[in-house]
Amino acid sequence: MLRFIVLFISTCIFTICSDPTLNISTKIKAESLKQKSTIEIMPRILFLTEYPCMECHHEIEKKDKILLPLKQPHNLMKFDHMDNIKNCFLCHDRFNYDQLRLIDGSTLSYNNSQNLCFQCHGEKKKDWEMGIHGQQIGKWNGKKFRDTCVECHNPHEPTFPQMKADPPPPFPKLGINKHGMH
Amino acid sequence: MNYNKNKNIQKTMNLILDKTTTRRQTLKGFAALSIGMTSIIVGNSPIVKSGFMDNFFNKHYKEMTNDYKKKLFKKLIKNTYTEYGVNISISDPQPIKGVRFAYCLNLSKCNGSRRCVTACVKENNQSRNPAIQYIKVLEMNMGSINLEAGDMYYEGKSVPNKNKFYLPVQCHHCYNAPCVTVCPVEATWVQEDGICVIDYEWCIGCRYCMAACPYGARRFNFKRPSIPRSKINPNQGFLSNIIRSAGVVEKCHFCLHRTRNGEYPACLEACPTGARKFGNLNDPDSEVSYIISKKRVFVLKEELNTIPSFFYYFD
Repeated sequence: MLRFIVLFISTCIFTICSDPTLNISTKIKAESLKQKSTIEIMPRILFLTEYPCMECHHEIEKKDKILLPLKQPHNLMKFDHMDNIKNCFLCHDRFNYDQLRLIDGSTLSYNNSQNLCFQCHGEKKKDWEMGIHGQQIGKWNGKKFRDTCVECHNPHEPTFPQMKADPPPPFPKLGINKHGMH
Repeated sequence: MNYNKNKNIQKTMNLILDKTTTRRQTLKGFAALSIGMTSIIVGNSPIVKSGFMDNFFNKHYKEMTNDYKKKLFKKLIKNTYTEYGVNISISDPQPIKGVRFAYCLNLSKCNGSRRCVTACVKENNQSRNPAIQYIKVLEMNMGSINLEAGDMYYEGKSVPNKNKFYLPVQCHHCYNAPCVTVCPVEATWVQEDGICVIDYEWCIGCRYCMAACPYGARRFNFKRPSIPRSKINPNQGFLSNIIRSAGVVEKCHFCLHRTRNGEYPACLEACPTGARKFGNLNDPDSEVSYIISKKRVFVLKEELNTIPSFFYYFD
């Protein structure tokens, strides 16, 4: 009886020691694979057609409100970002139109406008920083490029636009049930 | 009279060959002569000269040495040039050590634009007529994950359509792939970084793998693939996007000629909403590791125990 117990225990110890999944060195291998990937945010200012704003607005009148409709070249803009946001100066800096404004009054460049959006949309902040919200291209093990929020979401009309899909595959000649079973 | 005729033929044969022959031997001689002449004619015909039968004597990819691969790639490059007039380059990137690829797809973001399908076809030299597309985008009703009820032929004038969500399906590169188990000639296998590859020159076209795949990910070349000359992608990988012949099975291969060099697959770069994420599961900083640890991911047909590398989630 004692022999069996000794045999059983020694077999257990042998299998545990030889089991490669319990090897500690696999954890160290994963650590050494951590490659620092740099992330570059595409500068938004390059895509603004009317930048810098102060070229036209060099004399800022002291206004508390901006009346709609706006004059040229801003006359084609639509405003559909929450019904109760009517004050442009909530996001735009009143004295320097080249900058944006955070809630606490500090100014912000258009290149970092995502920080303005994250003030209200905090649930997207971590996702965007980890690269899983929005398109991120480049190299999966190297430099990655991503955009600010406004590349896809027009800040004054932020709903993601409907698109036209590419054409469907050709339906086979003898096929049945073209649109699914139901 | 017939008997005399045959005897005359035999007499002439005896005179020609300078020895006595029997009727049986004469017939054998005629048969051998006819076989020889047919083989000379067939060997010089344009079908064989175009290299149609060349890959009959190829080795399996796993047995190829580097020298053999170089010669084979040169031959393939030459064949493509003769046929299409396009200079291509064939690479053979090996799996990177310690990398295990995974793909994550955000179903809340996919709007059914099918840009991934078009980009894949462009990148991977797929046949345009008959059209082969590795990715199927299924339009599903909200509230069900019944793949058989998905509609892949939806018209997308303005996507996303109301009350529908979109599920793109491609090869899942399963850890426990049923297609690998059933292949009778081992033309398909899973490499160390998780990508399931096909040796197109070795595949015999029996389509057992197509029957075995539960996701309907594999496509067959019923006819010779036709690709317009201007649309050929010249950056080719031997196991990924060389121009295939008729009678072989093909499927998504995670663009291994791109991903093994660090780039993203073509479908990911084309996605307009950023629903697709790809990376190395073993890297804790990668997007896919973050998604799998923080989001509620699921796989399709989990009960079949295929253990796919393709994960879906709703945000």
